[in-house]
Amino acid sequence: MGERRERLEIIKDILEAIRAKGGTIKPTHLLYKSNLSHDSMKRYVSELMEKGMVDENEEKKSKKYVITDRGLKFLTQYQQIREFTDSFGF
Amino acid sequence: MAILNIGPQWFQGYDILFNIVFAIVTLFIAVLSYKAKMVTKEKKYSFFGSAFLLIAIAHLIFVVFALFRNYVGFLIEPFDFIFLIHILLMLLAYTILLIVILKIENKKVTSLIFALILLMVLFSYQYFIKFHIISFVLLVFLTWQFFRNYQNKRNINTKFVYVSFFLLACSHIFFAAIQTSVALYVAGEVLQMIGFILLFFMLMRLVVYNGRKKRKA
Repeated sequence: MGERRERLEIIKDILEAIRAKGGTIKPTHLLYKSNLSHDSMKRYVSELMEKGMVDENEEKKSKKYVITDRGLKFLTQYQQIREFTDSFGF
Repeated sequence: MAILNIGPQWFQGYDILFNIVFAIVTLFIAVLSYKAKMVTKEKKYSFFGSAFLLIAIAHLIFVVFALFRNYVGFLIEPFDFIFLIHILLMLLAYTILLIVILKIENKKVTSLIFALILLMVLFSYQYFIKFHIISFVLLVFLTWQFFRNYQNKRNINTKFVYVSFFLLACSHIFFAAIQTSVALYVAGEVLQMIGFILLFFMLMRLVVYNGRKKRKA
């Protein structure tokens, strides 16, 4: 069994899932891609929306999540932090 | 023995330059670590950054007082005091690094490590040699951990880190044996320089490589 994902890693996975879909994603796809329960995903997405990393768009009664510039910036920073931490192994 | 009066005469000036480079590299690591703390809110980055900040301050203290060493030759005692501050900062930094890298979370164990190391150095004569021997031991532990990290990840960054800490550890052996020949001081400083340059390359790879990826995205 794999190790439990850290909070930060889950946030990164959500943002990466949105980015991989060209910047917008349907909630059902995100649920599948992020490998979270429905409640957990809603909680994380709400947090990301509060922090301005994700926006919500409604087109033709269909809800979609959109990654913002701040979300993209976080992904770059996350990568750098991950590599920094991995280099020293802490 | 005052730290500022060791080493050959011709090397005075170069050692100031070397220590400026050491301070810049360690400050660079501290800044990256504090940036990581801002994003992640994890305490370990604060401790890691603080350790490198202390090393940077220790090297800057050396630089400031080395600049005046030729003018205050009669004030040798205060320089011993300055060296003591240098020792305390360096040992504190190495100990914090060890606690972060070994993931020691028990506060009692942490306090014990700090107390033992400081007592061994401060309440003894020949603190110059003891400082370098204890530094060597702490750095060997760190190098071993970084080597294991390299074995797990097998990438160039982890290799740079363990080789640089290995060189830093070796440099303290040269410093400890300085009474046999002042040339060992130069050898120690050169080893440290190579170690810090390797760390700098590793950091530049992190920053530049991620910068390129950011521009592509």
